[in-house]
Order: sequence, then C-alpha cells, then structure tokens
Amino acid sequence: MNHPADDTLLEFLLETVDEKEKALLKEHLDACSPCKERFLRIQRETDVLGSFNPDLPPLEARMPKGRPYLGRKYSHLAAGLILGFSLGYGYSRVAVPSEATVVASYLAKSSPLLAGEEFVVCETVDLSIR
Amino acid sequence: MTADWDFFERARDGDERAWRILLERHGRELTRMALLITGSLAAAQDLVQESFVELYRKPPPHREGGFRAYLSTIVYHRSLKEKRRSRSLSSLDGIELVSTEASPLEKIITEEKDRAIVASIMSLDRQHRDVLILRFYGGHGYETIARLTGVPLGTVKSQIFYAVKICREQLRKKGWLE
Repeated sequence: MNHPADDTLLEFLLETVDEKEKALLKEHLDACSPCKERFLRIQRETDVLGSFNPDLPPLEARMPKGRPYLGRKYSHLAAGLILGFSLGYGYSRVAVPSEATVVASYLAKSSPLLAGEEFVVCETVDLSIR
Repeated sequence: MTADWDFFERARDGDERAWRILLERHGRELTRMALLITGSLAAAQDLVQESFVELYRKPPPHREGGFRAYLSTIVYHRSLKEKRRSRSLSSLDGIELVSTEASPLEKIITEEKDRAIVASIMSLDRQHRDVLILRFYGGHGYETIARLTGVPLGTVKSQIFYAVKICREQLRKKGWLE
C-alpha cells in the first residue's frame, strides 16, 4: 500500500472508511513509522476540537417527588393488608347475622305515674355471626 | 444494566444521593453540548435540568445502551427547540435584530483556545456543526447521529469529515495546532 494522504488518515481516524480499507490502513500504520507519526499528529489536532472546556457552574436539578425507597419495597404488602382489611370490614357490614343473642339486662322500676307496673327492659348485647 | 442505569433506578425509588451522582457525572458534559447548540448558558442549564426530569418521569422501557447517550438525545432535541425559539424571538416582523455586543456564549469563554475552538465550530453551517457537536460532545455513533438529524448515514460520514477538516484548518491558521 502507498503511503496514505492526510485526508485518508483523517478518514481512518474518524472511522468513516469501510472495513477493508480500515484493515489495510491499520496494517500499513503498524509497519510504517513516519505514517504512524502523521496519524498521531492528525489525531492530536482532531482531539482539540473536542476539548472545549469552559468553567461551568454545577448543575442543580431538584429530583422529582418519587416513592420512598423503603416504601416501595413494602408497598405491595401494605396494599394487601389494606385491601384485606377493607374487604373484611365491608363484608361484616353487609352480612346478615345468623344468630342474635338477646338477654334481659335489668328489671326497671317505672315512673311514679305507673306505680306498681313493672317493665322488663331488654337490650341486644351481642350480634354476631356464628 | 450499567452502573448509571442502576443509579437511575435508585433515584426513581427516591434515593437523592443517586440522583446527585448522575447530575455530577453527566450534567457538565451535557450542558457543554447544549451550550454549543443554543449559545446560551442559562438556556443550556435549564434544558439539561428539564431533560433529567423528563427522563425521570418517562424512563425508557429498556435500560440498554449508555445512560448519557440516551439522555443526550433528549438534550439535543430540547436544544434544537430552544434554538428555534430564540431565533424566532430575535426577529421582529421578519427583521433580524443584530446585536453588536458579544454573544452570551462568547461572554462565558475565558480561555483564548476555547474561543478559537468555538469560533471554528460556529463557522460551520448548522448541519455540519450539529454532526460535529453530536460526535465530539454528545459521544454518539454515526448511526445515532443519522437518526437524530434525519440525514443518511453516508452523508453524516461525509459531513463529519468535512467539518473536522475545516475546523482543523481554521485552528491551524490561528496557530492553535502544531
């Protein structure tokens, strides 16, 4: 291979050559010190284009509100507990009791207007599903 | 998944330290890229911050490829949008308002070498300039650049060669190269 021109070395550097030419150029540069030196110079000069480095203040960007780190781990468990409790509570509200226990709590004296009359007051103390 | 995507997931779970690490690792380079496209440091910082937030709120379905490469595509699109917006503001009834003052970009460049580099990049037309910025400051491969710019792959390769050659010649004339 003849010694490549600077433009060809630049194309090689920029990786805009096809694979076949790339392989040939690599082989030549491995064997030819002057061309290798030219290539390295072109590389240094090209690197300058990417060296714009102004003194910039640090970036400040507030993180958007997200789920707490630990909360996310247990959110499924919490959701399950809440759902289970809600279902249980709701069922208990709508379910018809199968048995009611009614006991006589006390024997109350009536008012003076109804002297001599006795009333039994009953109240429901337990309403449960058996 | 790369370490950066791992930090991103932790940030999404509420880990602020992971969020700050990502800002420190990538904020500066992304701001530099946006600065070269928009010419305004304030605009560049704003849109890079917005890009981080956008990525946080709408993460990609797969955490493949480089984190910075993905984020820089968001930054690039926002930069173009900002450039179009500022261009429309600078013209009034079709009349371009030309300022004699130094541009915002020129004001923040303190090093003469940086000034020369920026001047050489800015001397390119928009297509060549964007290709060079995306390659050298966005770290993108040519296929990605072709997709981002809507230009065929072969044309992108021609454009990068031309852009680099022109910029090198300008820097050499000003004595900044060997």
